[in-house]
Amino acid sequence: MDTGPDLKEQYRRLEEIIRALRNQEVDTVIGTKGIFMLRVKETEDALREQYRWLESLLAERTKLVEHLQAQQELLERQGEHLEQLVEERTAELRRLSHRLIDVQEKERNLIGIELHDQIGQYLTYTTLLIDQMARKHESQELTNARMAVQEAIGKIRNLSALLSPRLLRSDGLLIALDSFVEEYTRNTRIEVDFIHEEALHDLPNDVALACYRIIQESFTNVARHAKPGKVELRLSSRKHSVHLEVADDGAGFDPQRTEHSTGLTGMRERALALNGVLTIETGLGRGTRVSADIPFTIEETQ
Amino acid sequence: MITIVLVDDHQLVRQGVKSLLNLEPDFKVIGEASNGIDGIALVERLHPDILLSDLMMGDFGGIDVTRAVCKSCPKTKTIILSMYGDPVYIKHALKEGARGWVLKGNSIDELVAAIRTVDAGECYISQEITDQHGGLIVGAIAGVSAIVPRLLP
Repeated sequence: MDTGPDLKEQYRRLEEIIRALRNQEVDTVIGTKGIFMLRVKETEDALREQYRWLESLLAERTKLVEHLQAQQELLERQGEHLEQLVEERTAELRRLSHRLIDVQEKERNLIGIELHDQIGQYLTYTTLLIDQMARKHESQELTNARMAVQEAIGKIRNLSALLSPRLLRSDGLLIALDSFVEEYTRNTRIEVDFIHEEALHDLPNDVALACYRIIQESFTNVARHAKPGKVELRLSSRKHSVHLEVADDGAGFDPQRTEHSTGLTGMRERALALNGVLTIETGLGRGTRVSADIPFTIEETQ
Repeated sequence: MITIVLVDDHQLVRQGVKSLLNLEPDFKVIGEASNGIDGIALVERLHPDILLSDLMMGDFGGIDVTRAVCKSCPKTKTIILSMYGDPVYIKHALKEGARGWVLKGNSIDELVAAIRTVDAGECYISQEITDQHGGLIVGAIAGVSAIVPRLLP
């Protein structure tokens, strides 16, 4: 790095002369007056040069600072642009995810209704035919056939309710969940404590369906893995959001090792698709708590 | 003679039920319709003792039919014959004045028993449903219906 003209040397010479003056070295003083003046002049020149050098240095630094500032601004702008891009992509993904869920629900609904309204009716007709034959001649084969068809009708009834929750659409989330919980306890023998307000705020259909599906999935997981004493289901709503919680006192799991669970991802996707959040608190032997908050806006209807 | 009208959007089911019910010497199926609106008109014209109606039939289902028939022909007693057995729907139907609920797939003997019970002025719920939901459903239903359903022993 450039250190500028050697001022030290100049000062040293001046100090020598000043010392001579103090010591009353008159001869030297008179003899050196000319030299003294010369040295003063030289010092002045050196100082000027030093000053110019400092000025150029300052200009250089200023330029550097400006350059750096420009770079930083550029980086910030690029950063903002990237952030915006990420936000846009995230929103797009969310929209896609929402649409995917939508399409999936429509398909499920269609299959559920088809099973129920078509296959179910043919099976009903078949039982009637079996009954008709049995009226003429009862046999063990007919009894077995009737039992098999009735079994199939029962399965179709359950599968159809699972795929297309008609009660949810006709009677709303609370009543559909009441019915779901009753059926669940009957099938799994797991006690459920369903804690909810007297009535919920009016939920948009997609929000109600998301809640229903998240709860359904959580309960399926509980029955499959948790082996709990009981499950607690909580549901509450505010003017612009709904909160749900499924908590069991069962086995829990290691939250680091859930890569395999597409169910958990699916639940999260459902909440995210509606700009909600879903959290899972668990640990081995500590039970599991799934909670979700989903916001919504209600269109004012007259 | 117990006169019966059938309302169901599935022709095969109507056909099967009709031919089996007509085997009972004192039953007569006197009319059938494939949707709720036609069903109501038929009941208003024929005044049957029993209306046997499906639940899910497009926009105008069994519960709507029950409500309308209860108003215009209070002497006709409605029984729902459905694939569904959810207590919520059963409560809705009883609240609108239905007197019975039989599941599709139940034996024809049970349907015959239901028709006789309801015709005699009582209420009847499929045994499969009361088995599943226990006495709870009877209590819940008693809240909306003046007639407590008879439970098979």
